[in-house]
Order: sequence, then C-alpha cells, then structure tokens
Amino acid sequence: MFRVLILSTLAITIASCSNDRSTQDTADRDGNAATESAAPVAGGPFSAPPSSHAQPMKPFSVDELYNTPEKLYAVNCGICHAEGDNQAGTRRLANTRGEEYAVLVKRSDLHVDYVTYIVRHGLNMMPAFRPSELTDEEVSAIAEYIVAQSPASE
Amino acid sequence: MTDNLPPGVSLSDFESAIGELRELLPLDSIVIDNPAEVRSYRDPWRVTPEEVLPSAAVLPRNVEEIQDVLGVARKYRIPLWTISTGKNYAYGGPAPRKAGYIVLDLKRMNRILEVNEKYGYAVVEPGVSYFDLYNYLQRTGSKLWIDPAAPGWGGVMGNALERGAGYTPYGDHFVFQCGMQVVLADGSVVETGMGALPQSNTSALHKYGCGPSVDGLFTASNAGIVTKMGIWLMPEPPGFKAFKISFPNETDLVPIMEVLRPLKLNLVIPNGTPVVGPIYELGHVATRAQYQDGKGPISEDALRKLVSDYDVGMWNVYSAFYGPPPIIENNWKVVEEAFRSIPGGKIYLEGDRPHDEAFKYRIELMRGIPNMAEYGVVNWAGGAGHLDFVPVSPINGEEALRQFYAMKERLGEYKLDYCGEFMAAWRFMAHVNLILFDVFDLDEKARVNECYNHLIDDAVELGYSEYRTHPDYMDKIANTYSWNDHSLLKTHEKIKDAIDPRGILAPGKSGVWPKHLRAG
Repeated sequence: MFRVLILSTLAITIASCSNDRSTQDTADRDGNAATESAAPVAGGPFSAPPSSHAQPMKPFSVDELYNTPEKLYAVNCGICHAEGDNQAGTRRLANTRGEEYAVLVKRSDLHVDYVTYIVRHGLNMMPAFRPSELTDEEVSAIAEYIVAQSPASE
Repeated sequence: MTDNLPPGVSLSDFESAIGELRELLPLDSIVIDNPAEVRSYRDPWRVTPEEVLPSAAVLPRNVEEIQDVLGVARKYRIPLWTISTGKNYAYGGPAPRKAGYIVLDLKRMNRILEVNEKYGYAVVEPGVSYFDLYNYLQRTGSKLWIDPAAPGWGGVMGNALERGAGYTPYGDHFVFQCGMQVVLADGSVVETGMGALPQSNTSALHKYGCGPSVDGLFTASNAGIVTKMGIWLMPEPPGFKAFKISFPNETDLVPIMEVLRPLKLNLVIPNGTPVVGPIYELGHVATRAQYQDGKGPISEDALRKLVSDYDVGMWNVYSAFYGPPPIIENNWKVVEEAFRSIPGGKIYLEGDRPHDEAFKYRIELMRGIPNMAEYGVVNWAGGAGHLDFVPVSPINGEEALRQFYAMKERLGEYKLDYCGEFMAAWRFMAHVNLILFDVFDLDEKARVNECYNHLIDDAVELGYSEYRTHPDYMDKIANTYSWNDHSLLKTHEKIKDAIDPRGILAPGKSGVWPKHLRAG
C-alpha cells in the first residue's frame, strides 16, 4: 500500500518537473558571482532563489536588526510580553497580577528604574539579561520605551 | 569577588590574570566588579542549594580576543566555561559547572557570516539566536526556513552543539550542521571537514571531508571553542500541511507509537513527531492552581477536567508534510489511514481549532517560525522552573506505556506532576519529561533533586539513559555509560588530556574532567 502510493507520488512529481521556468542564480560561497548557463533547470514545483540574493553578503552583525528601542523591546521583551494568548510573560502576569497588569506596554504603574532593575536581575520565570545581551544603555532605552507606551504618559 | 576564586587558583594568580585580561581586552569585555552583572550568570532554576556563580565573565568579540583569553587561562590554569547565547535553561543556562570558573560568553560574536540561498545554508557565529536568523531572513526576503528549538531565544549554533532539536524535517540539529571553525585550548584555529581545503566552496555542503570526522568531538564537549558553524536551511516548500490527532486514553500510547514507527522509519512523516501528554499540552495556558488547591501531583479527576475543558487528548500527536501538494496529499492519505486504525482519535488540520494555542505554536515551530510559547509551560506549577529528564529508547508502544506509568508513579512519590511527551525521531523516541517546580519552594526543589537521581537509577536498570543533562547531573549521567569499565569516558579523558593539557576548557562538561581535576 505504501509502496503503491509513494510510486504514484513520484510519477506525479516527475511529470511536474518538465516546466521551463527561468532561474536566477546566487553567488557561490567564495563570493564569485555565479555564471551558470541559461539552460533550463529542473526546479519542478520548487521556487528559484530570489534574485535579490544574487550578490554575496557581507558578514552581518545582528545588532543591526535592532537599532531602535522599539526593535530592542520586540526581540528581547515582546517575545514573551506582547499581547496574545501564547505569550509566556503576559500569561504569567495575567495569572499572578490580573489582566490589567498583563501587557507591559499597556501598564501605567511601571517606572524606568524598576524595569531596569528587573531586566538585570530577573524576576520569577524571567531570567536576568547579561551585559553581553544588553548594554546598560540598551536596558535604559528599553525601559524608557516601555514606560513611554504607558497610557498614563500619553 | 575574591571570595569566589576558580578552583585551585590562588588570589594573587587570579588578580594577575584579571590584570592581564584588562590589558588585552576592551574595558567593557570583563564582568567582575558589578555584583548584579555577575549574578546575571546564575542558573535561576538550579534545584540544588549551592549558588554557583562565576568569578568573572569575559565577553570576546572575535577569535583573536578568544586567543588572548586562552593565553591568560593557560598561564594561570583558570577554568573557562564557554556559553553562546546562554539560554538553555533547565540545562544550566549561563552558569558554569562549578563556582569560580570564568564564563567565556560568546554572545557578542553575533554575525551571520553567510546565507546561501542557492545551496540552502547559513554560516553563523555563536551569538546568533533563532529569532536573529529568522528576522534577518525575513528582512532580506529570503526563501529559506530555519528550524527553531521551542524557545526561539536559543542559539542556532549552541543548540546544534548540544544536539538539540526542532520541529521541521531539519529538526535534528547536529545532523543538519555542516562545517565548523574551532579554537583549540592552545589557541590554534581549525576548520573541520571540507573547510580545511584552501578556497573550499563545500565547507557547508559536505559534512565529512576526507579522513576522520572530528565535528562530533566538539559537541556537548570541552575539547575546543566553536566560533562558527554551517547549518543547512530548508528552502521554503511549495506546500505545507500540519495535523494534530488527539486520543482519549492513556493506553492509546501503545498503538500510537506502533503506528508511528513504520511511518518514521520509511520517512513518510518527515519531521520529529511529538506525542504530547495533557500538562505539556496545556501548561502554557492553564495552571495547576486553577484545577486543585495546594501542590501536586494533580489528581486524576482534575486532570480529566483539564483535558475536557480544553477538549484535548490524553495524547496529542503533531506533525506536518512539506513539499509539492500532490506528494503531501498522497502521504497524508497514508498517515490518516494508519492513525484511523486506532479507535477514538480526533483528526484536526490547520484552521480546525482556531482557539487551540498549543496547535498554533506548534504549527509555527513546524513552519520554522520561532516563538516562546512553550516556555510558558513553567507557569503550570506556580513559581516557574523546570528540570528535564529525557531518556532515549526504541520507538515502541509497550515500552512507551511502561515508561509513562513508571515515571508518573515515581514523580508522584515526590509529589510532582508528570509533564511529558514522547518525541519520535529517526529510530528512537526521546521521552521528554519537564519536571516543573516552584523556584521559591525549597522543599519542592529538594524533592525534584532526589526524584531526578531516582529517575536516573530507574532508567539504568531498564537499559536507557539521557542524551543530555543539567550540569549538576553530568557526572552521574556520564557514569551510566559505563560499559567495559567506563571505557567511553576514559576515551574522552585521553582526548581531553591530549587536546587541552592544561585542563582549562569547561572542566567537568558532560562528566569529562581534565587530569588535574579528576578524582583518583
């Protein structure tokens, strides 16, 4: 039974491989722009790599992804504290403090000093953030961002 | 910090070492004077009473700085405990094996060195997390998927080196690792496999090169410091179909695993398949306190009510198909028919249960989208901690049921809940037990520790053991691999003594101690 189905699957796959999609190319590991011939490539149903990636990349520090307080907040805090049922920190705060304290950026009781302290020391299920993860300046920026979102500061 | 010296190192040597490090590294690369910063390296979930803090941490930005640190460590014989993102809580987090070690924290080495769209891989440094790689790929419009571990803040490299797992077909992370750069204790730098070829263009494509393959030596080990690693990435498939099947009875575990085995062996189901018990399934959305007063374990009645309230099974099976839709539909028919042979199963596809948070986060993980949902399972027990006991055994229904009952009974003796899943991978099942506890309850933590030791002994009697463990239990687990008078551990020790003769790299990691710190 298995074999029959798998064989029939292969037949379908092979049949669908005969399109003549033009392909784009990306650079090889050593950085040379690729120079393959224009002959059709059997990509079948699989999409070609995006043409925007044809050039080799330079080493990229992920710090560049988080160049605003909002982005720093999102990747360090929002992953657990954003609004939503699958948010570990939000769920925790809803359980222990109540719904009105569940979402950090909707709270009006938070102070910059308090947030700064908690980030460096941790609290309950939240571990402390090390200096290698967030500098003091970044912690301050995040704390100020969170407090600035508060309804009370509008 | 002078009251927390590295083992065997005098105060004057330690001060000389720190002085030399201060001359070699930028000012902000040494964590020592600020107690809060040093304490950020603690393991908040340790269940044994001793506080294990490093004497200091050093934060290199590149290989040259690592070499500088190694020179000082060799000179004064200072143990270095290397971490990458430091987020493997339940396995020690950023904390060292012993108090006083210096933590070598590689989080700042956070460059994505290469993403190759055509051949499907990335090369990353130690500090790159799943969120980082995912965010980068999203920003650049990449058509490659990542395979995140359940908590997305973990490290792409660190998780693979600890032989962790994810939920797409690329879920066995060390299998999909390809090529690494390692700094040895003497400061020399090595590229493994094909990377040893000058001008190599296959270092992240062919895992082995010619001759002995050494990559495995640098996993779960203290043989070197890995500073970059290739990881294969799955091209976005033309189709994706996730399913969940819930079964009402505990004993359904037997036919579930029997049905799964041939589907896994024949690669009909391409990704690791978790078979999830109720508390693992719901611990991130419900708490024990909502179902009963006082501590655990939860009563059978309360457990039934929990399962009924959320309309889940006593076992819940998750997997997905990837690829051209015609292949998916054919394989789905095979899998659906196989599971329909077990009475009572309820089959769900994506979209069928819009309010099922577990299904939601697992679909994301199976699609390579990192999240932190599963981390929330620690909410179940109150004060939020877990220690994991994960023995490995054959994919076998009777064996799974026997383990389930044995663990549940043992945990119950210590007033702890069973929070487990069986993860069926290539040819084995990892029985993932999250032992949940309240970090503020000292008595409960003591019970967890005692229970954990008991579970290890139980497992050995039945012929299995863990594949990975918390630093507190590394010696004990290493000793379970004892065939022929501990010949495997002795082999590790011979390699350790040869490759790190001063014994400075992560002494005690995985139970491997350098000669000068070995007992006897």
